[in-house]
Amino acid sequence: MEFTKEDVSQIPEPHRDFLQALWPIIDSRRTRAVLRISGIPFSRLYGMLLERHGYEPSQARLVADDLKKAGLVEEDLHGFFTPTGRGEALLLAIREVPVERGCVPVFPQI
Amino acid sequence: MATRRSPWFVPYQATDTEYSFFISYVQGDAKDVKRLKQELETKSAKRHDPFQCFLDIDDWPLGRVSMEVIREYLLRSQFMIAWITPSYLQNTRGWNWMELASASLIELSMNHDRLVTLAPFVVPIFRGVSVSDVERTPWLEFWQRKIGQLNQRTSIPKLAELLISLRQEESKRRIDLGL
Repeated sequence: MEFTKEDVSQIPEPHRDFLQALWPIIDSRRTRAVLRISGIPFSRLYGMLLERHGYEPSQARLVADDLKKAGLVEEDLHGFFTPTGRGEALLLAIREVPVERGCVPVFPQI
Repeated sequence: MATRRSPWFVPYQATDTEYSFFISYVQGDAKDVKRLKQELETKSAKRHDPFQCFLDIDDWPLGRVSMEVIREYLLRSQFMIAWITPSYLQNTRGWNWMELASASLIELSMNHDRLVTLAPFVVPIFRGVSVSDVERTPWLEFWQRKIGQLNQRTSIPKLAELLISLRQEESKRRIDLGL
């Protein structure tokens, strides 16, 4: 699943900020950090959207719902958000981080 | 874009600290946190990177206003560890909550120009509590911030090792972030 620069450029700024705010979840896993972040509470995401865009809670909720409908984020029962696999791929594209192959072998040119 | 910066800003010098960990707890857990402090200080010395922890029963300066002491010594620490147990959550004296409030402001200030918290100051250690116990408390926001490889029964010596690694890792991160 890859996203192009054109895809990325179409994402509205509040939605992009919302996704970027989930970065510590991916970062703490990628770097095998001692302190793991496994979800970001809606209250913090709302606080960020209020500070950066002057959004009301209902507007922040709309942003969250848009991203949920697009299959980019998930919310648990306690209001913690995490990116889905698709959301993570988009977030990596936004941050221009190459996807690591990890243990996936290189497919030969045959 | 209209950026509204939080007015709650605390000047904090992450590199200019006397204590590595400020330990927030309640009296019923004094024995455990005393042991944790000893383990942290002994293990860090053995690794030739000694540091100190602030624990009120050892380090409280007498004759001072309590809130002032809390604020001052949090500012003189690299991180605040919170030892969150059933006793902590049931405590009605309130100092632990004042510590969390002040520590949260430091963390907010350290990350004021970032989308989210990239440099944590508050390090929660949940012991014997579930998400439903913290659900209607300020700790819910921190529930998904946990030390990897840690479960609620991890021994105190093992926990001290993890905290020493965390300190090293987060100190590097703070340098990378220019803090």
